[in-house]
Amino acid sequence: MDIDIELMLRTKSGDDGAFSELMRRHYKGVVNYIYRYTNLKENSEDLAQEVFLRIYRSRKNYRPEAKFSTWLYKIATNVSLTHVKKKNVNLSLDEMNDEGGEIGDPEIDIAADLIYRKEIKDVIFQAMESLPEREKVAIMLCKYEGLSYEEAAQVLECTVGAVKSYVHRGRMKLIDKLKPHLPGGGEYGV
Amino acid sequence: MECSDCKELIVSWSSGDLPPSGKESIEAHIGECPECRLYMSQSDRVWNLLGEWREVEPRSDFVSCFWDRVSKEERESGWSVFSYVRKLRLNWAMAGALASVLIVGIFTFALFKPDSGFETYADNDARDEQILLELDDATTRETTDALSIYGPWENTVEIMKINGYGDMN
Repeated sequence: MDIDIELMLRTKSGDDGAFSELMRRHYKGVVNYIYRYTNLKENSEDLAQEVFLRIYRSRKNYRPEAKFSTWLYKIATNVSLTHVKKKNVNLSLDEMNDEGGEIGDPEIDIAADLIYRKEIKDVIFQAMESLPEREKVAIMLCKYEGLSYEEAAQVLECTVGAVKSYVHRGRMKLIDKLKPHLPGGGEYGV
Repeated sequence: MECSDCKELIVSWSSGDLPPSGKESIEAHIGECPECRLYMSQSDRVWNLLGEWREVEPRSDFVSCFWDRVSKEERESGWSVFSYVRKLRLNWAMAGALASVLIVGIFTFALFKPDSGFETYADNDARDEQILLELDDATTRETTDALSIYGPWENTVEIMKINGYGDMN
C-alpha cells in the first residue's frame, strides 16, 4: 500500500502522529506550490497549514480512492485560487524582491549572479502569471511538483490529453516570453 | 513542413509526447532551417530556466505550529452550541428522530390539554340569554304602561287586538 494512504488511514483511525508524518513528507512541496501560485512567502505557510487543516478535518470521511498527492494538490490549488481572488493579491515585483530569502545561497556569492536570479524569478513569475489558469497549474504541477500527467489530470479534473495540451500550449507561450531572458540572449524572433 | 508545424512538434518532442516518425520529420526540417534549430534549443533552455525559480525553505516548526493551530481552534470553538452538538455526534438520522418525537409530543399535549374555552363560552352564553330575557320583560312592562293611557281596561291583550296588533300569542 502507498505510504501516504497508509498514513492517512492511520490518521482516520485516530493516530495524529501519522498525520504529523504525512505533513513532514509533503509540507515543503505544498508551501512552495502555494508560494509560486500566490507569490507571497509568509502567506504560503499559513495557506499550507490551511490545506492540511482541511484534510485533517475531513479525515473521518477519507477514502483511499486516488493518490494522496492529487487530493493534496487539488486542495492546495483551491486554497491558493480562493486566496488570490479574495485578497485580490497584488503580485508586485517589489514584494518578490523584498522576500529574497532563498537567494542567499552562500556558495554563490557573486553580485551579478544574485541580480540575475532575482531578475529571472520576477520574469518567470510574470510569464507564468500571464498564462491561462489551467495552463499555469498544469505546468506548475508537472514541472515543479513532479506530478505525472495522470495525477495532474486528477487535480485539474480533466483528461490526460487535456493536461498534455495545457502543458504544450503553456510551454510554447513561455518560450516566446522567456527567450529574451535566456543566458546568452534570445534575440531571434519567431 | 512549415516552421509553425515544426515548432509544435518540437515542444511535443521536448515533452516526450512525440512518436519516432515525428522525430524524423523534425530532424529533416531543422537540418535545413536555422530558425527552427534555434527554437528547439530555446525550448529546452526555457524549460531549464524555469528551474531557476528556486524553492523557499519553510520554517522547521511547521508541524508543531499546525498542531498549535488545531488546539487553538478547538479551544475557541469549544463552547459553541454547534460544537456541543458535534461532540454529541448527532447524525442526520438521529436529528430527524428527535424532531419527530418533539412534533408528536406537541400534538399529544395539545390533544389532552383541558380546554377551558368551551366553559367560558357556555357561561357567557347563559349570561347573554339572561340579559335578553330581562330586556324582553322590561319591554313588555313598558308596552303595558304605555297602553294604560287608553283606559281602565285591564285586558291588555284585548286592547292590542282592537288597535290592530294582531295575535300576541
